[in-house]
Amino acid sequence: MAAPQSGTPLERLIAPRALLAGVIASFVACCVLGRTVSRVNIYRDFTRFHSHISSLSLYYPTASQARAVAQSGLTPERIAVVVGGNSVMYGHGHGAENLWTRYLQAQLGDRYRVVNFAQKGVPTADFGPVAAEALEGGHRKVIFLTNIWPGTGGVTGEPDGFFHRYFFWDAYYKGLLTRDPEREARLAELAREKKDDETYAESKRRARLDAWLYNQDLWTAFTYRCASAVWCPLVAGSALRARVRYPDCDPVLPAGQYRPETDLGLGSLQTGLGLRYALPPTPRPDADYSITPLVKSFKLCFPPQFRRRTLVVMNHLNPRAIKALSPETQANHAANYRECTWALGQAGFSVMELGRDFTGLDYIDTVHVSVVGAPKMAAEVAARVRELARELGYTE
Amino acid sequence: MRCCAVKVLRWLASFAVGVVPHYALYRMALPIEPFIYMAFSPTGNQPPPPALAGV
Repeated sequence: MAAPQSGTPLERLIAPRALLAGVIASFVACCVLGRTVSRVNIYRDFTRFHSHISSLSLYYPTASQARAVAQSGLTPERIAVVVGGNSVMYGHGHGAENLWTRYLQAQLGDRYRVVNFAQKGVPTADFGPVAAEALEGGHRKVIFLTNIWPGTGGVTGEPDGFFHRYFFWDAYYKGLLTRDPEREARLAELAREKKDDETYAESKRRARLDAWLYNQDLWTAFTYRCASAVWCPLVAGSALRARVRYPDCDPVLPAGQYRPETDLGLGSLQTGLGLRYALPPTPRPDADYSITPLVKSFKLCFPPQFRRRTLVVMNHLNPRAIKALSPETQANHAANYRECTWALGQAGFSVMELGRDFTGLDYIDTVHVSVVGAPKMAAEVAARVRELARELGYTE
Repeated sequence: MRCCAVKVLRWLASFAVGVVPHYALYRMALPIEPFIYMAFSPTGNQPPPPALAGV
């Protein structure tokens, strides 16, 4: 005969053992659910990580989610074209309908699958290459696109990224990245350099924990599909609304409106535009170009096996802005493109110059391509991507 | 019947309590403000000007 239950209804409700068992069971269930959703593409009609599903609005997509996006619709025969880089590659000013990667997909056809993982304001090696490398674990035919321009100062950032450091460590601790000795050495060096930086250590600890618990995968999926509990200025009017209900509303910006005489930022860009950052300290024909910061940082961020399939797009700037520079700066600027192309090619990367023949109408400002230039951008890149796919043996 | 209801309620309550630490671990890791705003803006709460968005 069962003993009569004592205490108030509340006391009976919170019987410690049963409560603890339930708490543990639900916590484990959350972990399992997080792990499960991390393998599913949760994004509807994905075009890019626009402002409402990116870190700009405190939404942090995980490496597994990015991989799931790229994997969706990808068969072993199809060639994945992962687009990384900054706002130029993101398609700032194109709007969702005229996005340059839509044109790129159309130009390349069904044999290719283009995914735009570019993020506004990031260095070359931030976010995108991590996603490409994570995808490469399960798919052989990957081409990665990223970009540099003189304003980026010729450096790619650190191997673990810059703004999206969480993304690198998320992929790293989930075992989605290869272990490259050179990169590992730099990561160890970074850990020593930042030993007093508690934020850095904590972000790594968090990523390590997340690889087991899948907090971020579950709750970003929940934020995207069900409801958001994260407030920031971009969602000020409707903080609880699920992010899936926010369209990609980056505006189409007018083409050809740029005037150098009204560009207050051009003056500060002058110095950067005149730098020749692919040159070694003492440039000679037999000089070692691999010691320049440009090549060194690229090599650190891209392990050898990923260099050839990485297409570095060196995007030219608005000719109206270039014409406003001094003749000496213009000459250095032109030389810089040739030297970077050569130096990165020597280091094993695939490189192309973009927009050499673009006009002022093809830009919205100094560097961003307009909706007029977007199809041209796609055509130039598509031609080089096809060529690279052939070189890599992907088309056989 | 009442005993069954208590059991169901107990499981529901404990499940709800178990979800909280999982969510808290996610939520605690989020920065207070989007870092990119802080990186680009001296005031720390304005979006970056378009001219800098491509850097």
